[in-house]
Amino acid sequence: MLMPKRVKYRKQQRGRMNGKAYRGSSVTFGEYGLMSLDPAWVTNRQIEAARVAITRSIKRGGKMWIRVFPDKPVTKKPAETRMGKGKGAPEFWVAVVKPGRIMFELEGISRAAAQEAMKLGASKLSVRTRFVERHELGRE
Amino acid sequence: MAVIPLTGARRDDIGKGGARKARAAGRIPGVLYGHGEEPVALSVSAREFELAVRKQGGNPIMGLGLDGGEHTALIRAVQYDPISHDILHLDFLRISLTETIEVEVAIRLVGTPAGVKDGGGILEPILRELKVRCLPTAIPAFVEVDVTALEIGDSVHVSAISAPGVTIVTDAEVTVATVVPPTVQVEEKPAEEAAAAAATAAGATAAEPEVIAKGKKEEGEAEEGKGGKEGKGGKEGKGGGKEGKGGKGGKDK
Repeated sequence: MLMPKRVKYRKQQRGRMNGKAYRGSSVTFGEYGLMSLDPAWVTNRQIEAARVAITRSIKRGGKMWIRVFPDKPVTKKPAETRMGKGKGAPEFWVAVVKPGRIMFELEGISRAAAQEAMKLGASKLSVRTRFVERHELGRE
Repeated sequence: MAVIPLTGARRDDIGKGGARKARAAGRIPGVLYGHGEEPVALSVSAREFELAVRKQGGNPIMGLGLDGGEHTALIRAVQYDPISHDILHLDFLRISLTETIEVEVAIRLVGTPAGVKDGGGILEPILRELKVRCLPTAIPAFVEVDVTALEIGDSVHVSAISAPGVTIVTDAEVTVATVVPPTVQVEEKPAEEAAAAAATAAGATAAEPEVIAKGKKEEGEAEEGKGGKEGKGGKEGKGGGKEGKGGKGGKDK
């Protein structure tokens, strides 16, 4: 599963997810993409599940890019613990995803196959998504 | 390439508020600059612009009517809304139809490579736009690159592109497209998969990355030490066990 190799600090504050994803919001590497429509924390398990679903769907042929990386640690307190006594232990990793963010990209397969693969992958994620294509001015 | 007429209006209300007002009124805010003249904030009708550039390709030349005069301009940059893909802002670059300019032209790969047809490889485009120098009237809509002869592992470079009437600026050694071997997917056995899932579930917290900052790491360790005195006790116990083992070894000797 995806997680950083080295980090500067073990724990992070939660932060906010206001606004749209202006960075990483265009299909850059492949021809087709899966865009998030919601702000959310997408966990490394969800990303891995979606990756497996997409690669199984496209079988051989096609190339995939994962455009999000879970670099934010999420901590949890153990069950039946009283409040206080400091922040809990890091439990899992998430990628902060805002609306407009392209999470996966595909290349080298037909539009229909890409759409089907992205649909299967999207069902593993905690966000509403939209299938998008490379966008250029004047292209129809 | 023909010059596409477009009517613009000078925009006095500049900045975020002015731009938002223009968008609310069905117009796209923009700016016209270049050719040694002062930049002009303007807006164009969103509907008119959409119809004008539809099916025009990458580098349409606009005849921008502004304050009674006409400016020949290229669309240099377009900003889109990330979700709706509506155009948020346009950058127009003033040009002269008699001076050469550098523009990026789309690359279109033609044909199915032999490596894809016979070997099941994947055609991977590396470069999607080619930088060329030419007169504005001679800008091609796209540049075609024939990829039919490519086998698996082969690639085509910029040096192989012939584009009459234009000078290619992009480095000749840059790869345009390559045919890569198919990705072989190894099917994991269900038992293995379940074991792996269980291992990850159990050791989710155990697999922690290395902490870079030394001071912080020590702090973290100190915290852990405070919280888990019992753990320390356990370690000591282990140490005792080892000693015992050592003793056994001695007996054997």
